[in-house]
Amino acid sequence: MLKYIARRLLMLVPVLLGVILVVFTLMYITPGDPVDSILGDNATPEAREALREELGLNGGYFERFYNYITRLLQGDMGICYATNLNVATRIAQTFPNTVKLATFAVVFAVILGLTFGVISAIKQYSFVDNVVMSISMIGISMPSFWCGLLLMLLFCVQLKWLPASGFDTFACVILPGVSLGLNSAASIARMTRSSMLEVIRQDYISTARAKGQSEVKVIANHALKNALIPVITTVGMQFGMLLGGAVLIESIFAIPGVGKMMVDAIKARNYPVVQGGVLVIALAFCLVNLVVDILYAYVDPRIRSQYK
Amino acid sequence: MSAIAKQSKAAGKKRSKSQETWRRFKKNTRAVVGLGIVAVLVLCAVLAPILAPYGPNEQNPRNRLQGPSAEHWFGTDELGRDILSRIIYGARISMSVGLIAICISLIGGVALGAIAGYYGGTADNIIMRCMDVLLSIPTILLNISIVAALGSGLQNVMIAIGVSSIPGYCRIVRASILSLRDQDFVEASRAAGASDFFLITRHILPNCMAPLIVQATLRIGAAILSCASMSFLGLGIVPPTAEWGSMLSTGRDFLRDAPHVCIFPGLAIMAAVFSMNLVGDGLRDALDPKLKD
Amino acid sequence: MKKYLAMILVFAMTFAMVTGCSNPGETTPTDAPAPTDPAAPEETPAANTELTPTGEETVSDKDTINIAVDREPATLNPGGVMSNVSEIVMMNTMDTLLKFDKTATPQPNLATEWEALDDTTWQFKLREDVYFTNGEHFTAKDVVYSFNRLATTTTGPSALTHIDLTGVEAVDDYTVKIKTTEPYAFLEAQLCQAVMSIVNEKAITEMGEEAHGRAPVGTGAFKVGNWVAGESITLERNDTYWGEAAPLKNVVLKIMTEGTSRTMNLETGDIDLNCRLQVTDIDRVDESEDTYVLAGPQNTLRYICLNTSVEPLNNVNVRKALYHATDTELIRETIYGVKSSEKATGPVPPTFPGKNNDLPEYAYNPEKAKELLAAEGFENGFEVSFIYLANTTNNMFAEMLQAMWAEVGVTLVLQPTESGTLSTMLNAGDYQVGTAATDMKMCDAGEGLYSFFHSSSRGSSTDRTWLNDPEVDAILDKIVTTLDAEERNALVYEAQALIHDLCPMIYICHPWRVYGVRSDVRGLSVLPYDMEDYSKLYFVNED
Repeated sequence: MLKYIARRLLMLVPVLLGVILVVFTLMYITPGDPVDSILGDNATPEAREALREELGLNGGYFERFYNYITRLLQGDMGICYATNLNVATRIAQTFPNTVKLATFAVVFAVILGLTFGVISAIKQYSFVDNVVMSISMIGISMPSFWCGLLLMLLFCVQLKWLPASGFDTFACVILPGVSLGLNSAASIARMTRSSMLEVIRQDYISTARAKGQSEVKVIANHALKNALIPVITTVGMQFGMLLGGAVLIESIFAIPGVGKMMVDAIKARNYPVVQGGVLVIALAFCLVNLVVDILYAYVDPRIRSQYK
Repeated sequence: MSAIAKQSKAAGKKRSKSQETWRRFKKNTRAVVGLGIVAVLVLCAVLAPILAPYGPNEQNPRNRLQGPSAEHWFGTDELGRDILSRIIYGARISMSVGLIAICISLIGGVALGAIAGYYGGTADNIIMRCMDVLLSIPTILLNISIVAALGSGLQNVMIAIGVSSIPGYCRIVRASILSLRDQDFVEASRAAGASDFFLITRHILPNCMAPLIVQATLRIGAAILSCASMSFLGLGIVPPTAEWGSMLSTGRDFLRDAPHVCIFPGLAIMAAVFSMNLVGDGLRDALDPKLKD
Repeated sequence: MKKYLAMILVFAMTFAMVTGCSNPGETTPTDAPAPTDPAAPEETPAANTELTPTGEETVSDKDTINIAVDREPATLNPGGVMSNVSEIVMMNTMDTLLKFDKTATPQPNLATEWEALDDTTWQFKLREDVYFTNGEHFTAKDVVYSFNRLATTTTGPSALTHIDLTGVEAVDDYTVKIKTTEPYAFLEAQLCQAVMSIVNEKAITEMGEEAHGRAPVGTGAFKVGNWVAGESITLERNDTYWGEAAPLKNVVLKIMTEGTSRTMNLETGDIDLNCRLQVTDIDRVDESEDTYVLAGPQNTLRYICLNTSVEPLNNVNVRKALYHATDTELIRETIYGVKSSEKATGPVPPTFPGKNNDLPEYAYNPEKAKELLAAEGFENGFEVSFIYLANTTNNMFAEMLQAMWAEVGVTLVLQPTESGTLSTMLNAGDYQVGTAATDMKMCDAGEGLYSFFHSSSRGSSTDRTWLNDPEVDAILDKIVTTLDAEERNALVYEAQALIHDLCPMIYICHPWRVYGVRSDVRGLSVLPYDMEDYSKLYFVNED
């Protein structure tokens, strides 16, 4: 198992290098000069030139890429043009907010998705099943940013129950978390339902039922446990997607997270922040996938044996 | 058995298969509802100038932000334009973004997936690692970075969405090819001296059409959503283009006074994605009954 | 099948009903109250820059105020990346030698008296009782250091070209001599700018530029306390302040980029002061019992700039035609609000002496525009591009302009641009028609005209018209070097007529600064130069 994890971690290196290369290249060909957004409107041409030199923006593609990589290997992600802070510091400020948001969204999605998925599976083809499945289909199709706006309109503007911005109290996390997690909740509900249905048809469930165990026990002990395996994959995938989806939600609810920082950075040609941010998100995404694979092995002994 | 005989038999089977698929699809009410909505949207896109009661850019600032009324069923926006008309014209943008982006990613994905799967080895390794790279950058960030690099405009939005969804198709095609590569009929054809290109296009690809079609239908919805998300963030589509996401984005500033400016474009996006998902699900069930719950 | 359709409908309608229809009739725009009366926007809005105390109020012991600001400063170092918020923080935490009063006239601040020794040399007497927040005594050396520093900071602004920054000289501990490169009429006004704030050498050397930019050491009424990136900056009262101590102990600046959430937080009382009230929210905040609105004119101009150096805009008649094709009042009414902006008749804001009110108007008249264009050989119009900062307001602006110019046959290609690219293109003259990211701001009418229309200003952030006219240059040169105010104002008056006749820009309006204030907040006055003084704020008790 450890060997497997080590190999997977090693495989991350070329992928992350690729991510750096792709983002660096995209930023390189992006028109616009970060110097102008840094200096604002009032700078002299000499000041611009000096700053361009200082930031190393005058070199060619390979020279700049080489410089970036060597600095990165020394742990230096560069300076954020907008705040003059180290990019690592900026990420340290914003990343926890995004993780907080994504975690809330995942927890919400899992609770909602599992509950409705199980109900739907048990009552297959009933009215409840149809309603749940239709709603989940709408949930998957609903743009999260629209959902966020409607929730904001309802709970912040009309009812004034929840704050519309800020991120310091738990109440602030609810609306963005719910709008972010809704799509995932719907996906998880659908996955749970179909995987439950598959398990329920298996022999050992009939055996358990035949042994006279109560229906609740059969579902909880046997069916759900085995149906969870594909659900875990879905959850893992969703968590990664949520890190990206946070971009939109963070900008609606004005949450100082990584996503909002990145969008602002792309607009302002704040290259070090874009590169650093994408790198960290990609790393988080890959690590989450790794954890999911390990969990997968943990839950299912058959898979575990393959990893040895 | 000769390769030609095998091939004609496969073709015959394919025709009956598509009829069979349609028969199964028709029985699925959800899928038919989805298809109906798609048809309406396509109709809106094609007949926009006839259906829309006003021009999409007909302004009347002194009559702005009016709620739904008899003259303006969906109300007017921040410049007094008719929201219904803009939504109808918006269907053109969304539908064309969906279709063209998917074509781009289909072509790219199928080509790369076929090469990776068929040749294996180093080519496979390189291509799949590239796909891993694309997959590990969140789609929306990849999209906006590409649009930032290429510049705003409908065309670049399509390219961005197309490129960022290549990995999905690439994986599907590669997986099907891996399972087909060594099967008898391919081997036989190869022994008969068929070229690689012929083998891939005539034997292997037709056999992975089903998952590709399903994926493509589902991805059209995702592409529409991506386009709307990007314009919502103010990237990609240039005003005054009536695009659902940018209408929604503008409406945000008037959320309290005129929520209808946000509500209707959002409904349109949802309807489009919803219908594509229903059709995609229906197609999947119809094409491969084994996959059905 | 019916089931699903019904489901979708119910779902959509629940949202629509709960969110939309619960307040029928409120969907009318708040800032265009009389759509049937086209004469409405002509009226001059009533400024309400201060709340007159009733005399029955008692001062509350509440000592912390929460203020919403619209963006986060990049740094608080003078001469670093300047934005309105960073300048406001500097003005409240640091001091300049001179300071504008409520009418933007320079008054003593760190300097108590001053005189011009000759045309280019000025001598300033300094206060002797001033200490920096790090305990250092303020002397002439600090002035010398601060100004020298501006000459060397790579991020320094270029507007200071007339001041000899490295030639500042400490005569004794409390006297400095400042030289200008030529006779310069706007030295006093320049010394009031936030960028000229006095810093302490020891503090910057010990902390380093970067750390100092996050917690600057100044001599102002407040000092910078806790700064949580992306959330808030707390200003704490400076107990060693040389002037009158501020009534409030803490001023918390909360960064809220969304206009709607600034207003909503004001309504709930989570903030006490919204420094940038959205046009759409003015009536709501005004009508509420918990809040009131203060609004007043600023020394700013919103305009469309025409690049006079490129085809076909180098033709003055084409520019005039475009002006006639633009319904500036409709744009003002729709976007800037009749209650929060003033009609612009010339480049100089009405707050300045020397404003020329006799300029002929290029009234909205598409027919005349078409005639002018036809006379210049553009019967079939032409195509030009319009660059602007991409945001909702500017998109509306651009879309309206596009529709108006389309009526006279001119095709406007919209180029929404992000701020970095926008400045690059504008500074390089790489545009045809544009509008700058910020309003045109002046600290003096003459200074403004010089930096906007003098040919030597080309390529700087202020020259957006690329105008090169010898006659205009000559009169502007004269303005800058004329030290007598009356004489200068006469020249300013004349210059406006000359410039207006060349029609290098289309004036839209002079936007106002609008504040939303909680009803228990007192002491705020709307200053005409885009600044806020927090040292006078206090709370009163409410029943």
